[in-house]
Amino acid sequence: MDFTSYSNPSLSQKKIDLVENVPLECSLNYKIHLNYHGILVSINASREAILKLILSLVPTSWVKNESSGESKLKLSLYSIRDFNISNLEWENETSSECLISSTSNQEIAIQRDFAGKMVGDNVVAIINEDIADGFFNILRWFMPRKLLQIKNTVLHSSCVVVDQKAHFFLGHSGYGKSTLTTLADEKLVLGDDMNILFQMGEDYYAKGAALGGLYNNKSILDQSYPVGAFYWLFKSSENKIEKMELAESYRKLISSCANIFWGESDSQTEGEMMKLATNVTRRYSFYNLYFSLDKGFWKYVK
Amino acid sequence: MLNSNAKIVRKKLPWQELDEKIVILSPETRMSHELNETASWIWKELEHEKSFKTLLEGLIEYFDVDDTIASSDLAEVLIAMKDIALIEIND
Repeated sequence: MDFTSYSNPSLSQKKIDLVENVPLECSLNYKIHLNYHGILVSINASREAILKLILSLVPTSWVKNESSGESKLKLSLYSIRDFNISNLEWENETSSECLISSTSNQEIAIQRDFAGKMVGDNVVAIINEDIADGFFNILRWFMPRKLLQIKNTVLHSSCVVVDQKAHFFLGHSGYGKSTLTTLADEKLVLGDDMNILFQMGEDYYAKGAALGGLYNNKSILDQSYPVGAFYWLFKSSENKIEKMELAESYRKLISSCANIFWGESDSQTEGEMMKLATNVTRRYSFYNLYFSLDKGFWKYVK
Repeated sequence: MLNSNAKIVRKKLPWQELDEKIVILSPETRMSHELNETASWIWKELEHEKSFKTLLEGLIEYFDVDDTIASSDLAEVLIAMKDIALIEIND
C-alpha cells in the first residue's frame, strides 16, 4: 500500500497489521440485522455502543430482529478500545483519503477513522464508535459496489426534490454540492453527498444513500422520487445554465459514480455501469449549472 | 513522423459511442476521454491492429484529405492518444 499521501505511515501500518490479524468469521456479542437498500447486512459488534451508533443513523424500518434467511453480507465491527487504542492515537492522520490494497481474494482499506478487510461478502473492521464518520466511511468503501450488483448506483451528489422530481447535483469535491443544499429553504434534501439512482419499471428514481453526509431526518431514507434532471455544478457570481451534449453528460455521470473502481471491477459490472449511463444520459437532461448564493438558480431547476 | 510500418494497437479499455463521439474510460488514470471526429474514426479502425501506413490510406480515403497533411495530422493524433494511454505504437 502506498502511504505517500499519508502523514503518519507508522500508524497506517499498525492499522493494517491489526485488521489483517482480526478473524473474518467471528461471533461477537452484539448483533443486528439491517436491510440496507435491499441488501441484508448482518452486523456483529464487539460493543453495545457500536450498535447504538448504527441505530442512531438508520431508519427503524431498516432494522430486522431476526435474519430472514441467509444474510447477503456479514459485517463484524470491533472498537479501537478492544485494542487499547485511544481516539487521538487512532485519528492522528491529516489525510482523509481512503487507501485500498487488493489481492485476488482479499481487500484491505484504511482511512483516518477505520481499518477494514473484505473477503467476498464478509467484512471486518475496526472503528471508533464515538463518531459516525468511521462507520459511514466503511460503508462508502465497499457498499457502492455491493449496491451496484442489485442495480442501485451510488452517485457522489446532492439531491433535492423540486415539484416532486429528484434533481441530482454533481461535481468534484468543493464544487458546491453541500453548499447548494444549504440554499434549498423548504425543499426536501435527500442527501448532500451520496444518493442512489435506481430503475423501477421504465423510470429511474432517487433516494438518499445513508452513506454519510447530512440528511434532514432518517425517515426520508425510505422515500424515493422520480428523477428530474442532472446538473454539474460551478460556483459563480451569476446564475446561468447550459445544456450538455450527450458524450459530456455520459462522462460526468460516470465520473460521479462513487467508489466504482474501473479496471478492478469485473467486466460484467463495467458493462452494467456503462449500460446504465447510456440509458440515463439518453433519457434525462444534463446541464452545467452556474450558481450564486442568491438562490436565483432555482428557477432553472425544473 | 512515425514509421509507416509502425504497428498501432488499441488498448483494451471500456468505451462507448454516443452521437458519433467516442467516450473511453481509463482505469489507469481514473479519467474519461471524449474523442474528436478523427480520433473516434481511428479508435474504431483499430478494432484490429493496423500499421501507420494502412491507417493513413484509410484516413485519406474516408476524410478525402491531402496526403501530406493527413500524414502529419494522423501522427499528431496518434501520439496524443499514446500520451493518454489509449493506444500503443510499436515501431
